[in-house]
Amino acid sequence: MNAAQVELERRYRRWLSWYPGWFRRDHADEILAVLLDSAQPGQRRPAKADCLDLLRGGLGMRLRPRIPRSDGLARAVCWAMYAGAAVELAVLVTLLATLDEVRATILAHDPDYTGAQWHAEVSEEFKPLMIAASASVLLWLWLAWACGRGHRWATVLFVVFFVENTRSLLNGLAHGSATYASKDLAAGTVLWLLEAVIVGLLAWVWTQRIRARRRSWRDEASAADRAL
Amino acid sequence: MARSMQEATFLILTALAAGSQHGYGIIGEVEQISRGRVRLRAGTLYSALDRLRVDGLIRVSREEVVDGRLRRYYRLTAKGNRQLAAEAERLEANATAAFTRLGLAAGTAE
Repeated sequence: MNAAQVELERRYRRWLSWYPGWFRRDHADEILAVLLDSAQPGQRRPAKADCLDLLRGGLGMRLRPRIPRSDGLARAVCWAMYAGAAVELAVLVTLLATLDEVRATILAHDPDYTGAQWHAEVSEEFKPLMIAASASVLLWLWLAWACGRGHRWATVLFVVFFVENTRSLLNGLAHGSATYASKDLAAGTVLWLLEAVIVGLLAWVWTQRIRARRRSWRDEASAADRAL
Repeated sequence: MARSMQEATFLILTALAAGSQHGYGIIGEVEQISRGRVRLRAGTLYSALDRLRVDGLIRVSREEVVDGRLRRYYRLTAKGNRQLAAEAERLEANATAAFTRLGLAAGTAE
């Protein structure tokens, strides 16, 4: 290998670090071979299009569900969780984007409302909401990612998440009096409905798996009977 | 109704239909089959190969080291064969319908 190829390989290896470790262990040398075979003689720097392609491929490999297409229900659960993350993110962005509007509305109703009161409102009401929404986005993404990799614990954790959200939504309905109460509850209801759909899909997936397992036990038992 | 296949997926499976191929070979075959229209890049190719393996449409048939570089050969599974045949039939039926309505014999469009 000449100096140009060594340098090109080193640079491509750096771009390959976008891929998850398990994939790199299995395929990095193979992909590198293809990249080097495709390179022009004397080429020292990776082509921009190849770099973008590796970046896209690496991120896709980290985030995309690894569930067979034939398992449509499990894939639907996973994508619905990503949709949940998107909705939660939209809630967070709306919250941030409408802060000034909220302040203007309060001032219109109460001209004596002071800056200190607003700061207190932000730190007591909005900051916790934003932190909770950010944490929820991460939780949705993490659960979607884990479900996409077939981790059963993620589905159990999701059901716990659903129960907890149901409890807090009911609590909000019973005691809702915050500045954002109606919008909060509307966003919470949309998310809750999405969660309910996902829990329904999960129940369906589990039922199908149990049925498939029973069928295979029955088939094994009847095969054993025939053998006797 | 079964979802139609992406063009890159169809071309990769078609490249593997004649026998096992390694990554660089698949890129060349795809370019040839598509008459130079589709040039797969390594990242796209290996994402597609990984997805096809998860779906059970292809499998690794063998590995070798050439000039110090790893070459892994992929081949179609029986399921991959069936899906490629089904997709080819679907495309053929659509193309035939289009040619018929255009009043052209298959393959004579300019």
